[in-house]
Amino acid sequence: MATPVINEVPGDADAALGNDGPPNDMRKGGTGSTTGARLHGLLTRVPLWFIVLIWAIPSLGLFINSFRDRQAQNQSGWWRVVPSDLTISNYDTVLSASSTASMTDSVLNSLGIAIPATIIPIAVAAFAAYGFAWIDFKGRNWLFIATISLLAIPLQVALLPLLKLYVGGAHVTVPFTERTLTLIPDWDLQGSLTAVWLTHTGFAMPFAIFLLHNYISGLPRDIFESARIDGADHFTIFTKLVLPLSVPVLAAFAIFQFLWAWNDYLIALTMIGSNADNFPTTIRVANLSGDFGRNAFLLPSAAFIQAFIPLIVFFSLQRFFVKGLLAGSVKG
Amino acid sequence: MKVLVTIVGVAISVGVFSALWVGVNLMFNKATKDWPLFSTLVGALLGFILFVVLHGNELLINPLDEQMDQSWIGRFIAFIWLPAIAAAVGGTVGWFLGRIDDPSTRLAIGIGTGVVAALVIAFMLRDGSGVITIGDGRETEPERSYLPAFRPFALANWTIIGGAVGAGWATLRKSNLIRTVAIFGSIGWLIGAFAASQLGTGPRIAAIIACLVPGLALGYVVGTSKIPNIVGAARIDEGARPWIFVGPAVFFIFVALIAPTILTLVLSFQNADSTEFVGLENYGTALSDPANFDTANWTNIFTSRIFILGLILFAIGLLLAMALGRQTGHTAQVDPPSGAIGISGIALVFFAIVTTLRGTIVNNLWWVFAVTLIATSLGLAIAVLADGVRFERVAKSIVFMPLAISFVGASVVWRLVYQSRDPSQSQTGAMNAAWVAIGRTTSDSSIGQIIWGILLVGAVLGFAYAAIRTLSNDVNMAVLYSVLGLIPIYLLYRLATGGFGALGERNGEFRGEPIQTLSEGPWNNFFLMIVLIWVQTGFAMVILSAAIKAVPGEFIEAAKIDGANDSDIFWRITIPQITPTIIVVVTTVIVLVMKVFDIVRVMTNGNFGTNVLANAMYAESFQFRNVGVGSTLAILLFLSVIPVMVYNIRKQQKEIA
Repeated sequence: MATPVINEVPGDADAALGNDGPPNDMRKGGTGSTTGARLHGLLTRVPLWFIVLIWAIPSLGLFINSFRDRQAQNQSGWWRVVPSDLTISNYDTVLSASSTASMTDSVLNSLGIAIPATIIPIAVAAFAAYGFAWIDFKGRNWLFIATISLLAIPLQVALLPLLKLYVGGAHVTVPFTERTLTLIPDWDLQGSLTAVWLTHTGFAMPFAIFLLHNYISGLPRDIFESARIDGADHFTIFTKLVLPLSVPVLAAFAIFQFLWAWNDYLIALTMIGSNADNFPTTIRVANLSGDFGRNAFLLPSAAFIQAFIPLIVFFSLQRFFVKGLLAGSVKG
Repeated sequence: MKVLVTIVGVAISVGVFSALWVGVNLMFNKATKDWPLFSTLVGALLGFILFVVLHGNELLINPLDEQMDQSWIGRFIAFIWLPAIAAAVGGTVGWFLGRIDDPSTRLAIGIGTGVVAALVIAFMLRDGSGVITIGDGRETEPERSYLPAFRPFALANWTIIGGAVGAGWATLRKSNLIRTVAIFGSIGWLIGAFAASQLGTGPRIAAIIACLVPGLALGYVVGTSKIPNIVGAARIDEGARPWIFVGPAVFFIFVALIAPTILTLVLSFQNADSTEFVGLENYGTALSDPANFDTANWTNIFTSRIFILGLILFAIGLLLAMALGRQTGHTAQVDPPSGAIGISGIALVFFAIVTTLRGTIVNNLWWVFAVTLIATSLGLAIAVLADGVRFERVAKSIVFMPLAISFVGASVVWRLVYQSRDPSQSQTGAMNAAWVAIGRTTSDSSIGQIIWGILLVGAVLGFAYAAIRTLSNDVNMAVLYSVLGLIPIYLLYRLATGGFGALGERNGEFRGEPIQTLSEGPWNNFFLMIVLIWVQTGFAMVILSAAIKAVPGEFIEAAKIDGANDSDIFWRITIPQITPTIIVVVTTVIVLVMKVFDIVRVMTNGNFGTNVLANAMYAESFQFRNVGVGSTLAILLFLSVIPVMVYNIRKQQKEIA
């Protein structure tokens, strides 16, 4: 979801989300309570809530069906639901470890991927963003532009060689000899969670650096100069000054990256392959979905377990989320 | 158990990363504050790394290999003992060099260390007489020999080349000539001794010669160095610090993005199992395969109904623009309404083309066009409609929510909506249930038909009224309303000739089957696109909403005073103001849609003519094991985003300048 283009987007997160006050006529052509204005208001609200309704129905239907047993789901649509139908047996089945479609393990796997895939890129990108913004060195601009140019790169282009790296390590053949030199040994990462979050870390880098650099390079120059005069080294400035000041943007990126890693399907599918012990939630749900027939009635509840953490994050931290979304295209 | 494993795994991975980084930082902090300590640490680190590389590549004899048991810890000890000793020795040397000022003592220490290290390596090089254990210790393979042959010519050639490069470097960088030549000459010597000769054929003495000379030279370089004063130490710190901060990121970017991209490019020129180069053959295959690009039915484009309808709409838009242009003196005056009619016309023509020409690449184009156009315009519409409305936040949150769900989740959500069953059963998917319900009410000569008729007649009258009202002052809007008014008139015609929608079974009669949403081509593609539109509209809405709210209020006030109405304000002030933001949204969505994978994978797996590039790439690379074609498809994806990359580079260059 990260914006791969550099441009300024004006405005702030609160405005983007809107506020639930009384309608404000400032920006509207309508003036007060004439019939024309009322008709105008109606013409705005009816299509708006019609679209909102259409947007809500698909998830609502799935949510209701997740509480109906197999027979009810098969016999009638979710809109025919009666309160006596409702049961949590689907969630029981899906969460119990004995079931073939257990989600419990996969939730842990997803956490094992998403947490390192969030923390490590933040750290690495924050170092780099500070380095690019406030340390002068040769080749800085060149290197930074090269990093930024990778914002739009489709990750498909890197998947195959990366998988080979995890399967066998990286080796180069020394010229003129038939000997190979090992650059990265084979750590037996194929099918491991480590392979997935390492991949996420690499792929997250350009956007993370871009986002954090925007913010960190916008911090006031004075504080760095006075800290340098006081004899603080870069490490101290970074840990004591920059990190605390950058909490908002770090939080915004963290939410972004966490959702991205949690919701990812392609990278996990490629790197984990057929190692069912390490399947994250997305693969479990997708496999359940491919398995037409017997277990189809468990799909709604499994999908909601998969979406539970993202939705919590989304509803509690929406402001940060939108901030990150906007900051992705705002110049600092 | 699994919980524990997860927690420990997370803790180790995060802990190791941060400890390493903080450690290196603290080490370089010591350069200016405590030089002997810094020198000790650098010595230990260099020794450690040198022997990790040598030992890790199994270049050296390892007497502990067979002594230690093959448990995890045993193998670790068998590996680590040599680098550990090297670190201790390196640290000691560093400690001495960090304290002793006397040049001759320093030279002795430097050369002594170089010679000892060279002899140790030379005598420990494997000579092919033992076995190496691999893996869990059960497998063994005959040991290789790394003793180089003695070839004076190669040695001399490479040393001279290295020395010359060193001399050039020293002149350019104005550094010490002898030391630089010694460093580069050593590198040349090592290449000449090991790379340019037949390994495993020479006597031990050749290895000793090969190691001893660079050992002496590098020892001399170390020995002639001086303890830096505070400025020199600070310079070392400043030289290294940027790379401590930027280095890890550069490493990840190189390993995860740059090197793999280059390798993929190479793979795309090779055959299915990457054993030989085939030139552009894969590209030929990818572009000519009917599964990717099928032009067989292209003549059908011209007879398709939406193509003709699209042409008519486009003609109306163009004529209108030209008529208005005559008034203002332009060739054609494109106003929003005439523009909207024209664009719908173009869109329909495009749809006619992509539904007739089939294949993976065509599908991708269709996805990019349809999702970008619809998601952006819907997002803009919602942003405008919701602006300042009561419960704005609730409305926006609902539209925005799908963005938090995974594509896999979104596919599951829509699979339920799209479900279709035999007409004799009751539908459980919302879409087909509605379609069947419409069918029942419109085809019965009953209350339902009357209600539909009243609704449609009302709609026609409404559009007609709107058209007449605007006719007096705005031809443009009048035409737009008239064209929109054709939709209910068409539906009225259908109602009169038997209704629309699916009926299902009714008194033993069937008419209008439920829609086979996912298996009926080519429109099943569009039903998949709706899933992504459902997700992406929220993104467009939030970004555009922020931009709309940032349009200065004075502009709007001023326009109102000049008598502008809502639609004038929207088309002539808001839209021009937010155009840069629209470009951001459009590009973002294009880049995202181009590589759409999850939705297609989960919903149809590319069957029924719904394949897209990313899914074909995955299937070729990881299922059919045709690495060549798979890489080619990945490179095609890459080529499609190059314009965006170029744009980003330009923009950033401007910003830095």
